[in-house]
Amino acid sequence: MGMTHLEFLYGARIYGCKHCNAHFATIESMVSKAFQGQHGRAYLFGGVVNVREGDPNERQMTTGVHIVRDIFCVKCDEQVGWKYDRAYEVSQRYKEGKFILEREMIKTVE
Amino acid sequence: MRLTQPSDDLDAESNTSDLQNMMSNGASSVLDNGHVKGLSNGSTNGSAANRSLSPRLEPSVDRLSKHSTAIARVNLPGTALYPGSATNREEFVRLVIQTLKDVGYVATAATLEEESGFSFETARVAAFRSSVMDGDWSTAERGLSVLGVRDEDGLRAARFLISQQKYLECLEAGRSADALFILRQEIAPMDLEPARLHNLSSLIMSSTPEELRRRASWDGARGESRQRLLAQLQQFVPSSTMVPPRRLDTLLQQARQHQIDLCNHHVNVQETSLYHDHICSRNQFPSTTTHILAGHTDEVWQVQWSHSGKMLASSSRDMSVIIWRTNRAYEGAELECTLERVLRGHCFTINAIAWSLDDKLLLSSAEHEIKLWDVESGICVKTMLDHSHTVNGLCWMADGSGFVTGGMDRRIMQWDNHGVLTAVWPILDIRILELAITPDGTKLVAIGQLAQPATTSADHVSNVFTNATIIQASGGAMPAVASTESNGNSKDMERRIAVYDVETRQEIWAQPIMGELQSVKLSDDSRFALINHRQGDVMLWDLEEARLTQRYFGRPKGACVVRNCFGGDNANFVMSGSEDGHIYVWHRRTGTLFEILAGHGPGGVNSVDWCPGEDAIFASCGDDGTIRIWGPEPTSGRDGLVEKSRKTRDGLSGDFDNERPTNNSTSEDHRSSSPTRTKATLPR
Repeated sequence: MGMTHLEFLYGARIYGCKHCNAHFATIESMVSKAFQGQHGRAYLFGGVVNVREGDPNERQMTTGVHIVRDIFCVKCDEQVGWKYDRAYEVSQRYKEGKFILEREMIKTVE
Repeated sequence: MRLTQPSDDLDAESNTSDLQNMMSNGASSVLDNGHVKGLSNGSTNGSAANRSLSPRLEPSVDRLSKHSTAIARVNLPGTALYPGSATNREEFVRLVIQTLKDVGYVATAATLEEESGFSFETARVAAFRSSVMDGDWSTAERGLSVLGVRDEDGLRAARFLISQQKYLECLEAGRSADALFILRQEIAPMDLEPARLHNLSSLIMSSTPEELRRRASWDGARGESRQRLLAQLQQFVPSSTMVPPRRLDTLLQQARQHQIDLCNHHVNVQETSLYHDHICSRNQFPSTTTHILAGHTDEVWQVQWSHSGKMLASSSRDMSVIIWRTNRAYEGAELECTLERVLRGHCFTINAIAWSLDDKLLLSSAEHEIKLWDVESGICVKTMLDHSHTVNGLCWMADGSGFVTGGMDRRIMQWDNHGVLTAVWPILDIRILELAITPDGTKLVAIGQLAQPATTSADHVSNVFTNATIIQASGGAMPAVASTESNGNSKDMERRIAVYDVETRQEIWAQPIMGELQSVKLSDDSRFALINHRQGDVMLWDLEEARLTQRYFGRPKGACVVRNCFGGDNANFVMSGSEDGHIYVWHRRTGTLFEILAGHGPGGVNSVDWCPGEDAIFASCGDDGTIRIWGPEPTSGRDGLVEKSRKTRDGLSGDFDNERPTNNSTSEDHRSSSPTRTKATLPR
């Protein structure tokens, strides 16, 4: 596909990949801090950059059945969270199109 | 007042009757002005045609004129050279007379003057010319005003030039008293700038004429100085009175240059002829793939020729750099390309490569790793990890003192030739996407994206608004002001071209642009920067005047980094790869897209580079993992086949899908073979 540059963000606080420092999201786009992922705490973000989406699959979560895609860092290919494609319960619809980043896989980058 | 003269062919009786005829018909309305002019006179046309040069041989025939020749005047209607031509006949004839005289055909010149009735120079001009050449300065000065130098400034400047020449000649001849007199009476009152006056006065101190000549950069009364003085004085005289020297040759030179400028495929300067317009055939332009180099196992992102043009470095997504060697056994032989070395060791995909000026060292960067390689041995001499983000900009200093690296961490770092860090620039506003140093070593040009939205300081704002009309047309997105929208996405961030002074590290100027910038290349004259833009256009920026000079359209837009280059003799072409797999070639001055070369496999062409040593060879690399070397079509034996370029933007035909566009000569072309493939077995 050719060489592409990583996206860079600006904001009060930027979260990025723990391994390779690639920017993912800023605190301005954070929606909620109260999520649980496979490795512990996770945050919900409205928009995320520098990630590659995997294939969708159905998953049973604490809040119900959802269709999610795993997301991977474009630079180092680590799985850093997932994206909600569809939620079956009406109360969970607000999550559709948003991204979960696991606290374990990200850190604050300058 | 002149009348047409009878030729000696006619006998005595018919002569007189002829003459009487003419006197009654045409002679009445002859005017006399400064220039001797011929008259249009319908009745004389037929009879004048018979007059030829032969009368010259028999001067005794003349009866009516005081000139000893019997050249017949040719009177023609109108003032144009040909009917409907824009050239004035009088101007043209005078130029021809000047040329003939200069070359040495004096007799022909005189005949032309006679026959046409136009004289090249009036007697006054000739007198002025000879007075300058003979050193008769007082006559020359008087001649100036007579010839029409009217305005005060011109007159003063001309008088100064004459006085200066007089002064220098007096000094050379040793007549210092006279020289001093001239200096006091003539030059001093002329109100020169003091440094100049000082300089002239100090020349009195010269002990010998040689020293005088050297100090004044003047080659003496017997040298060319009088010619040069004449040429300088001529600038003040109206050009119709005194025709500038070598005028006809100057005009022909301009025409030749104009044809060359418009010639699309012009690869190198060739012989031009006055008989036909110059246009290069497509055969000289490298439009065919001559070699395919396969050695990488993944997309190849960049190729770069060494400065000597003998080696080629390529970098790829497979995390290796390969050095190829190209060689011609003898002049005119086929090019041989061999894989010289594979450089492994990087842990990430390679972002940039750069040859040192002497081609002994090669720099490569992959993410934040920078490696310095010794080309001969292939050993990595140094690994530098000082940057905290991806390093995209690698450039060697023009004076050979080391190299410069720039990264997305907003830092530029300077190193010496051994990879030892010598300086770190203060943190910049932009994250560097690529950087380049002008060949004269004064400017560093960087393209990058702002790390934070532009602060609304006065100078930046004015920059954005004055150029907004040009830039926004292509960019689309409005500039992102500091807002708390979902993500401060770098897609909306302003891109910039920033030019820094290498010595002082100060920013000279910065140009904000919307839409991602992908690569930058500088011209050899250190004046222009060629920048690829995400929207597909390639921009040519003038670094000295800080403005956009030219834009080359035709490429589709794309998100990947695609590189461009200048090509051809004298940087006549602008070339770029593209994500649609084609190589686009534009004529630099006119902006015409005249070639779209196909041939690479599926995927984009990521980089093109013109070979510095060879005449007409360039290399390209693409997502299909191969590097292609392009050269002119192999000759079929039919030289001189001039083919007008049909590859304008509008006239694209289906030919581009073929590797070699069908030509009217390929059916007989058995010598042309398919491009040689060089496959490399890499040591595992």
